[in-house]
Amino acid sequence: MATPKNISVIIAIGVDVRDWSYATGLVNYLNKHAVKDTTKTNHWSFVLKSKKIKYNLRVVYAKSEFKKALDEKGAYVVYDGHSRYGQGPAFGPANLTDCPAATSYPNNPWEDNFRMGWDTIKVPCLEEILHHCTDPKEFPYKKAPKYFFARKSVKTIVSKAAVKKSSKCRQSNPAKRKLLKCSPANAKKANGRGKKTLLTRHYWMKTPSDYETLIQVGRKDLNKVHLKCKVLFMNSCSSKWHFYYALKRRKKNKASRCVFYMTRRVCGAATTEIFIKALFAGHNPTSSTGSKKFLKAMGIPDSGSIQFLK
Amino acid sequence: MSIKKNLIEKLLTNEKVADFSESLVFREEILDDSESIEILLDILKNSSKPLKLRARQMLLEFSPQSLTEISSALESQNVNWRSNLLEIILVIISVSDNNERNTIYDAIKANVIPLLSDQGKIQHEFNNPVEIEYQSRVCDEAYLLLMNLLEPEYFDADFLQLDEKIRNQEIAVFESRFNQNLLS
Repeated sequence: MATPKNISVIIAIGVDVRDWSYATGLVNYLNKHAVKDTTKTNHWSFVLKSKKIKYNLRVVYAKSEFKKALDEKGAYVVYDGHSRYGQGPAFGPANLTDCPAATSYPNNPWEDNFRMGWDTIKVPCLEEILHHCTDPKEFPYKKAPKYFFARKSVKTIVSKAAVKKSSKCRQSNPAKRKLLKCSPANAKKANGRGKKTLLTRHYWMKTPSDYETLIQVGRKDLNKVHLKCKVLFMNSCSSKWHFYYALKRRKKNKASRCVFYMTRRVCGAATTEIFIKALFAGHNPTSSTGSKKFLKAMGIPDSGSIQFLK
Repeated sequence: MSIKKNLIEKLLTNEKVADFSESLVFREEILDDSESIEILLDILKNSSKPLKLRARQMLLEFSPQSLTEISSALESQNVNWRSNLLEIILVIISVSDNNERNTIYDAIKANVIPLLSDQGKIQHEFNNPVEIEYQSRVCDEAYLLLMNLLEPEYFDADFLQLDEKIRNQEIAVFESRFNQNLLS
């Protein structure tokens, strides 16, 4: 056989998700069906004789590794993790708690995101900020800035709040209100790291069980990569809506040829393993015909309705 | 048991067949065949979970031309059933060519429109804690399916994050325009 073409396949598994059975199932699958490189941790290879391709696979668990993968020429990259409501991929050690102690983790891994999204997003104060003991930067403006890269729903909230004179605590319309004024008990709560990160925070929308605030995200990390990889499968909840538009911009700016697999809904299925199985079956994730094989194979319940996008 | 049902069950239970489209029997006897659709939908409804998953995979191989028949099963008034079937239809649409979207819309609209009044909440059974960003209902997913056919760039997530009352208003406007033949 002629020398096969080498293609790197990097599977970056995010914080928390690395402890799920899907992640261990994936490693078990690779151990069984690919050749483990005993000299390196979490490295495998798989030769696809029919296509004269050698896949060099590795499973990584760090933000720096994910960043490196995005710029690996011709690589197929999978991120399997949380979207963090659009804050971006987050990585961390195994069995990390939802609120890691500040003594062990001065930098909270839950908020060390790979920034690759909108300028501003909406997150719940209690379920996200308090629960994961984070302290994201609040949207600092009274009205939308001149160049505002945000989804329509966020732009609507900002513009409605800017003209809204009333700011009653329980009104359903968007308005910028101090959490301390409207829910003092929640605002004064110290998180598991001993910080009161809701004390001075505002919220723009009230849901039945939470207070939604606007925070700054941006594309600090995405702007440092050239997207030299050939495929990026963002296997995280609603990844199309959180990240695709920023990726599309970056792709255009850098004349990248990367294609994307993105979810349109909340997801929680073993689709990364199915993606790898489809690769091993000889399907090409970059072609229009090949992508259909991937989409059909990954069309299982709770897969998040995956879409192939260029 | 009918010959067709026998054929289908043999394929579904044969674990060596990972990709149904590679099976000659599937391509010649089952694919896009009306009786097979009926049998597969019955399996999808009444069988064990592993067999259901295989039946789902087999249905995903069907072409958009089968969508009228597949979508006719949406009349069964069960939230989970409707949600599953909408997911299947969405995958078949997502692998279709863009120039087929109008034809697909015409093929399924009569079966999907009645779901716009189904306010049943879709319950997912995730094994792990995921970030739940919205609670969708059958009517939301039916609306989004049709909207995606009419406007491929429609931003689903913004709609799903709207308050239920506002979503209902948008759906009502859509339904009214549909009834007046203003949608195409």
